[in-house]
Amino acid sequence: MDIHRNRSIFTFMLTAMVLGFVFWTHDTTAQPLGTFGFGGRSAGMAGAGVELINDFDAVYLSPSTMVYGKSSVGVGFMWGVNAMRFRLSPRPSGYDVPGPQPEQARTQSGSFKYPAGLMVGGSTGFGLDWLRLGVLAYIPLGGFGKEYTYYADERERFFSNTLHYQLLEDQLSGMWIIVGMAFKVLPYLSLGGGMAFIPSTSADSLLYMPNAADDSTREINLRSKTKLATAAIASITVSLLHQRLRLGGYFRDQLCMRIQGATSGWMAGTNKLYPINQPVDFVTSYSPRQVGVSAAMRLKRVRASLDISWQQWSRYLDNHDKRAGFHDTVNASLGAEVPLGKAWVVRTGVGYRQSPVPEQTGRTNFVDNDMLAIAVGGQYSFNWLKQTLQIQIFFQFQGALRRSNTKKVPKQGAPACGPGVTDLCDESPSTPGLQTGNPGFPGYSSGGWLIVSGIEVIARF
Amino acid sequence: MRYTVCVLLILALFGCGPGTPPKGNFPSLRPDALVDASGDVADSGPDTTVKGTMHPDGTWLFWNETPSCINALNTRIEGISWGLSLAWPVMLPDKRISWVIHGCRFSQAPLFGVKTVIPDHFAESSPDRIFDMTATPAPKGNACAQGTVLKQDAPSVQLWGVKMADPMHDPLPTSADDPRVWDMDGDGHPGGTIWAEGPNGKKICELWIVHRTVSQWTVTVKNAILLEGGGTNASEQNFVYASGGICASKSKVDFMDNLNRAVFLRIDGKDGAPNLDRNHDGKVTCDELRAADLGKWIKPSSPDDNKCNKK
Repeated sequence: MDIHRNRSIFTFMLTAMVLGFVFWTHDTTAQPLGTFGFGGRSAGMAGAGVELINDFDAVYLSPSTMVYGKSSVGVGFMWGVNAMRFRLSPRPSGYDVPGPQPEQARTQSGSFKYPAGLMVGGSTGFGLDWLRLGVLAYIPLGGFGKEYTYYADERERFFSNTLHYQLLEDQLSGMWIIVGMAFKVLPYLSLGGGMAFIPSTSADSLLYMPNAADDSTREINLRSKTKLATAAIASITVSLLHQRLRLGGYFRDQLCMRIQGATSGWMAGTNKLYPINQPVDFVTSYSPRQVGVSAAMRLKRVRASLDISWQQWSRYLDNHDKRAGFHDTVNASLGAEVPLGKAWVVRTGVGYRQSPVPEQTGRTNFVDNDMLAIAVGGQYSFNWLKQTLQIQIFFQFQGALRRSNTKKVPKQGAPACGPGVTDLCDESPSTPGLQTGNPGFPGYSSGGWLIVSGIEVIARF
Repeated sequence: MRYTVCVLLILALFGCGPGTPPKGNFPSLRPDALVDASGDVADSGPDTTVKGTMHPDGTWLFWNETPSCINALNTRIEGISWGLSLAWPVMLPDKRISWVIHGCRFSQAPLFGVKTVIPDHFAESSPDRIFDMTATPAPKGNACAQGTVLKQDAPSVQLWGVKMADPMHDPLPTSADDPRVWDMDGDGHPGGTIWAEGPNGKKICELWIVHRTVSQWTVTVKNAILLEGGGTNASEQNFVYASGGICASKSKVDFMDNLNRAVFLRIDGKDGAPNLDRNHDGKVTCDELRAADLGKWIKPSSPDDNKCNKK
């Protein structure tokens, strides 16, 4: 490969990245943890390359690999385009619920936002080649601190009156901080561990109503605390064949952001001390427990990686802290990178991400799809102030495998809507027949695509 | 590399869209229901596809809902009455609109399981009303533009089964022998004839009534085919004969003017409106109006006794 061709490849990737930026509207993408592969190198291989990466990005991917690389410090930026869509089936007549109707007409699009994000991190061994400490942070930009919760069933008709890409939105809206360390226990064995943090909130509202007959006069106090939710990360890496083959495994515990508290109210003229007591318990930014295995092989001109992970979505908690009946998933990605001379590396990869959401035949309307990913990336290294600088760029396309969901009524008839009911339910049991305003009734289809691109600058020393 | 780009583009443009949504397992239960452009039938929420200025011509419907609190059996319960009429607007000088209202159906929510039946021929025999409305405040431009508020100039009076020199203020007759009482519905009995039915659909008792309604409505032009609002709609009633039972009882009624609702909806198919002229004879009749599923535009309320028992 001559230098002109190398430059052409780099120019192509830079162009792709710029195109991604041009298409970036307010619906852009970022938080890559587990969705796109973390960092410029893994994302450029569609999530593969876990055992190849030894800079601070490994704090999330597999901390134990950090001991195979130099200390690092860097910053990255990611953005993208969201074209995930759903289409609602036309409602048949005769199923409307008597009584007050929603102000908002049923719409064919959700409020899915996809903010851009910033990554910063570093790793160091303090001069010891058997030890590395690392830290990294992902900071969503456009939607920093934004947490929206939804009803996944017929109750949502009185609010947005539509469906939402709730899982994806949840995963992509939170801020993450991760710290980790790695030890080289034996020349061919290293162990790593870490902890991931995301903010959680506790808020109690204290309501004072001086006149029970006049609810227009209310005074309120707030007691709010911001806490941290934590999840453990652990990994092991075995290096064989003179470091040409690396085998590893990792574990990441589940993590979610909780917003908890209660609204307690005192009302003059009533016998009870606190007649108003409304508990609040929201769950967002859910990331499932994950176990993964990875193998990376360094051949003469190619470095290849195969990564398979299992994600325990069966424990998923919806926005109101209830199990949603999801199933566990298996994701896989295959990537390779090729050095072109001393300065350039190009990489590519393909991946498959399985949706944990079963067909939504009942009450809920989670929208999610299996995704196929194709990625390309590149790296340019050069010396600056006696340090090695790496510029990583990547461009990843995820195409959704289209699916449709058709509502069904159990043979014994639709049950009355209420807590614990999972079947398509009747909102007016006293009226003959089924009455439902469920926004996903009588069915819907979903599909679309995502494009994410990014740049990361890392100094190695 | 060019092949990768091609594959990406093909996938993006053709392969990954949501596709056609499923038809679903639920057939439409009302074949005459009105279907909007999106294919939804009687869907929840107002029609947001029609915009713009209304044209004061053609055929409309007028629907009103009047909730009240009824004091009966030592408790207070909510009663709701509804009116469904044909309406024809004309533009008057000074940017005023005059509506001719022709009754097609009057109905009431059941009370304690007992339903008051007002026959459709009773509604159609009731005298037509005139609502003269003025844009308030006076608009600089079109009086029918979206957002314009139209207020009825003066209260209108409707009498059932009685003719009086001063319809607004004369006391209602209490006897069938009163010469002002007349057989409005042509059934051979003085006044208008209505009856009560039990939960099993059997007639419990019958009464011949004289009735006065005084109303004054204010509506806002929502779009080219829809005006919505509220107003006052107080009524009083005497019976000149009751066959007994619950029909002979009288209850004190408190009206809740702030909850009254009024809707004008264009129904002749123009300006994006639904067309209720099912037989295509060029006019909409009361039969066609009563047969239509209006659930997409009009959502009647359900009685809620808590409204009447707030302290």
